Amino acid sequence: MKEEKFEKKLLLEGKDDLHFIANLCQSISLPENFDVIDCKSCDGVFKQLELRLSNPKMNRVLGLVLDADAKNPTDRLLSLKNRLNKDIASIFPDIMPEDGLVVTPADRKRFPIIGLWIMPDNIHHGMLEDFVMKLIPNNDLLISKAEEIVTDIERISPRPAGRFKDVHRSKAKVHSYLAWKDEPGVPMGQAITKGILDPHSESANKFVDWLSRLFN
Amino acid sequence: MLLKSIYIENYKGFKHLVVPELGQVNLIWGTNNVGKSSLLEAISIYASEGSVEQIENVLNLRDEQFPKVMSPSTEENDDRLVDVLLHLVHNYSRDILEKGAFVIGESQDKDIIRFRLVKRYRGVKDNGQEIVTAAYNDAIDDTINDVYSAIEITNKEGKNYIRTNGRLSLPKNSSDDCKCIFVSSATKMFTGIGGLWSSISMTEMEGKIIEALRIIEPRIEKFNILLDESMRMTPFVFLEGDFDKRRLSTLGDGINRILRIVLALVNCKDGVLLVDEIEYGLHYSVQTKLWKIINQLAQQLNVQVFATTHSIDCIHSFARCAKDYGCMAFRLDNYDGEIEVQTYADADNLLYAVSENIELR
Repeated sequence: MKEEKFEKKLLLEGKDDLHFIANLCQSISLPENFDVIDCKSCDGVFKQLELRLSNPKMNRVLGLVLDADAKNPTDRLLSLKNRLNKDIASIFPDIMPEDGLVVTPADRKRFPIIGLWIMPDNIHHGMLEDFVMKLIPNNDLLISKAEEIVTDIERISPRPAGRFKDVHRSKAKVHSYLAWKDEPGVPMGQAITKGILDPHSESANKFVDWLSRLFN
Repeated sequence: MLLKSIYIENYKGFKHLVVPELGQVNLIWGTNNVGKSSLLEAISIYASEGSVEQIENVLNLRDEQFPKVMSPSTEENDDRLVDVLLHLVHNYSRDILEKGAFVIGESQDKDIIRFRLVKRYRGVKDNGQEIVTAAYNDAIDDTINDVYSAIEITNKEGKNYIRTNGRLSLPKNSSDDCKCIFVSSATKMFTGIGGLWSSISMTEMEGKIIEALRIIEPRIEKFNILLDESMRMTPFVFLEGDFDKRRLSTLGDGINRILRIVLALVNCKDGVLLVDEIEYGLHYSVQTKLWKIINQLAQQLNVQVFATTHSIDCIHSFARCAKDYGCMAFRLDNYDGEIEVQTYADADNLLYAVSENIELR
């Protein structure tokens, strides 16, 4: 288990989120003044949030990155509010701002600054992979091809054994795309450092801005 | 379980501390000087129902004392009494002392003991037989002589008064006192070991002591507390393969620590055991086994245990046991002079935090 060095933390649902976001931060040279923590599931993120809230001295800033999945980002925000004590929850808005959420409680000694970003863009359904695809340059033909092929596969009936789950469509699409780039099979995080994904695209900038507001 | 909750006002570092829920076995941690030991002291005062003896013990722990010798000057005696009490009051505040001193108990309105500085004198009724108690700041008629200061202790049985002259009013409730033993972090051989051993020797609990000692030295076959050459009661063991008994102290400090803790525990049936720095001198693997024994005995004998620690290992080993027994964990924090408590009631969450290496201290 990696030792925590900072009093600012970014809580993530899984390893893929961790590697991707770490690579993104590195490639745009975001100051490394926070710990990136793999909570292993969405539930894990909430559990860690609860525990870390009880130790505000060691957790002065807590950022959460969650997948919207098939839910409305507002639902995710509500789930978060339900886990917080009433006084803190009352200073949270009712809907997610599209630039990501940063809340600063009045009593900084007893409560941390809390941030929330809901993948892909705080507005739509989706997950990390949908965000990742927004970093693909507009004119890239291979991503259109990936869309075609994934659609074809979805149309095969009866459904092939062991086929990807419908909710994971975006994962199938983005990993197919990455299978055809140079070099094939590069993971999403490394795809940034290899120049396949653009860390300065509009969507990436929004996310990085949120991180900056939260941690600096 | 003796205490369901804790409520403290103005005792030492605690201006206003509320711990709403307690377990059978409770572990408290926090940074140095945050008040862990003071919390144990407060609990010991409450558990002993405000007994004078316990207050003296608490003062002794910090090398303070009720003056034993009375001075001819009442004023000087009074000053010394106030001086002593000031050590126990929040911020050493004379103001708080004169207005209402401190309060220790389970909740704001009931099951509470109040300590107050008062003035006492013989009143004019009943031919001067009646002793009147007045608030410390009340103006008293010049014609009245022999006014002295005293500490008034109010518990559910009534009121008791302490002066500094050895003539203490005895508490109304005496021998049925709740059993409360405080094991501090010092590992020097403790007095009273003979008595503690005698009360459980040749009972089922003797076996429990040996079981606990075997955590560190599995070869122990026999154990006893005997008079040594200097006529002091000393623990001895007989190890498998040895030809003669040997002092327990030859096996190191850790095993002595375990003896102190477990011997105290088995003597606290239906009472309270307080252990400061429970991890002192004990390796992580030993701590895990010790927690298990403490939990089993606490349940079996209905002892409520309060322990403090600095060690993350200790929190880890405690967390591993917490699920199977009614344990609770607490952290004390100092926010600009106000001490607050964070309760970890959920054993699952505690274990999760430990396994994910989330910093709790």
